[in-house]
Amino acid sequence: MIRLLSSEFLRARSRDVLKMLFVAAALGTIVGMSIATWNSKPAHPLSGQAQQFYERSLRQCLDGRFLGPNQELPPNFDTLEEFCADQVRPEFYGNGSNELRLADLQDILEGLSSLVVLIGVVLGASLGGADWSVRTMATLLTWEPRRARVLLARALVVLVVVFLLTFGVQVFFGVVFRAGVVLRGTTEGLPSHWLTHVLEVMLRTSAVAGLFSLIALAVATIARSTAGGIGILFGYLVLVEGFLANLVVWLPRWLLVRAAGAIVTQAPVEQVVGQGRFQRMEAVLTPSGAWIVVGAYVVVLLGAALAALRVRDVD
Amino acid sequence: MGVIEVEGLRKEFRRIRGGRTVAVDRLDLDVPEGGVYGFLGPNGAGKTTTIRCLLGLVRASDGTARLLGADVPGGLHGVVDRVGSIVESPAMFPRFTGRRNLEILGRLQRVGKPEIGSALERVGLGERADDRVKTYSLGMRQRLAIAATLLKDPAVLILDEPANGLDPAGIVEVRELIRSLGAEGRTVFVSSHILSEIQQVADRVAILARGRCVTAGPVAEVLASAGATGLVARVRDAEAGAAVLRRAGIEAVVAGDVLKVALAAEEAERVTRVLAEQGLYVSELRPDEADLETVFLELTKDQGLAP
Repeated sequence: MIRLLSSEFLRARSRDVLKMLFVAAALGTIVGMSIATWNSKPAHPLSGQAQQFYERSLRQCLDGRFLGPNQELPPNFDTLEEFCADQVRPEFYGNGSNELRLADLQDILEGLSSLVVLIGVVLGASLGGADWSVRTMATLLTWEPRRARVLLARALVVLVVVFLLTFGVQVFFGVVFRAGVVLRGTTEGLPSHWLTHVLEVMLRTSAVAGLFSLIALAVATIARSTAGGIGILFGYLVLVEGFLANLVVWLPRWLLVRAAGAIVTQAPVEQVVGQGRFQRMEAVLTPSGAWIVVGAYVVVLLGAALAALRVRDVD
Repeated sequence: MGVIEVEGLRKEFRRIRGGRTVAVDRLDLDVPEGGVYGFLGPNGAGKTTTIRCLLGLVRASDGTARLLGADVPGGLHGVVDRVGSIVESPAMFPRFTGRRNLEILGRLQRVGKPEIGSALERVGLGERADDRVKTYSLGMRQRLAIAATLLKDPAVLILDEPANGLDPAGIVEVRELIRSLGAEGRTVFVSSHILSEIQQVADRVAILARGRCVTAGPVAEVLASAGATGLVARVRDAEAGAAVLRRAGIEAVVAGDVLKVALAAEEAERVTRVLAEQGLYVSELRPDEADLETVFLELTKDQGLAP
């Protein structure tokens, strides 16, 4: 198994797609952050009425009125003051600020997590589909005929490679963001344990990217093509998760994208329940439940990929 | 015990529009250890499918196959490190260098860089080893695939049409390589649709047509089964020579610039004497031996199996 893993690692790290994706992500980060840094402007004082609105909202928040029905602080906030400093900011009341704030890094990383996961999907499909596209699977199987081992080794390698690559991309983004803040930004309003929370978001996002890469690997193995794998997966995400989810009431708790979002943000998936004036939001999937949902997708699809690989002839 | 043993092997493929195609039909094979074994037949005869079954890439519909005593596909993993193979057109990652492709495979058997280098040298790819495979010609890719099979230092080599895409010089090199591998005591199982090519290197052959084995055995025996068909004689004036022989009661016809004489090899002296008496001197005289192609056509002409 060690020899198979070693071979798969060499194959994965030799792929151009790996370097291309990292370079594209790095370039995107540098260009985006350059623009953001260039446009970063400090705040001016709020007008009298705006100042009043801001102070009133801040008081309401500190009274606990911005918290949900269970009165618990959302994850990533240790105190009510930290939570309110994040939720009620002067720039929301027109102080003209679009200054780079180091405290925003966590939110920005959460916002960019879908792009990071996308990297995982493309890599997973590519590393799973390439052997079929260039017909090297037959060559590989004449060296290691145990197909379950081949798929297992490949899955492990894809998981590790995608995790490391996406974590590296996020760290690179964080470093460039920090440099932008040093040049034209502010470190004001940093909550305690800020760095820990940022690292947790990065780790969770990379973990989700790794799991999604396994899903893409499984689909590409079944489809026997990189393009087929990506196409089927996106077809599913658009048709089922984007369209059907709005029609079937019980579906949202089982959806991949929403579960991934819950893992990254640690906020539960919520759904409107009740009717008329009795409508309210209800949590239908907790973050820990979301891990189980995504894990179930991975297990079922890898199982299907293994069955397809074992049963079907190889050209 | 044979190195490759096949009993009643059958493989059917489902057609998209219903029905089934029988690619291999109750095939029996017994390939002894050592030497070169030719696996012959026209395109579509079932050679590649048989090889895919032997390597566990394709599941047989019926029958059994054993490779180095191990059941295929269940026990294949136990012997695969002693089996080198090329199946049909060799597939390698086109964006990787030749060396990197071999390194990826080599890691599966802990093959070191020196062995990879010497395998590349042996097939004449030493200077192009660090170029991307997409820049290789078909012949170079074929050589790379052969180099890959040599990495394992295999006891058995299964080569499917190894001369495909090679230029005449490359064909000669591959022929020499196959010959030398067989002489080293390895078993080389080589398939080809070019019967004359195999005749030059194989010790034993099996001839396949429409998924069935029509004959098998040592090359000499297979050729002998077709029987010697007479003598070939060359004289300055073939037409005149044929007339002289016919007058002497010997059946002879002109074939190109030679004479085909219907006499056994033991009666060659009679031919030279009759012709010399009439001032026609023989410059070449040899038995008109059947080649594998002739044998194949002979064996399949009544069965509608010829290509």
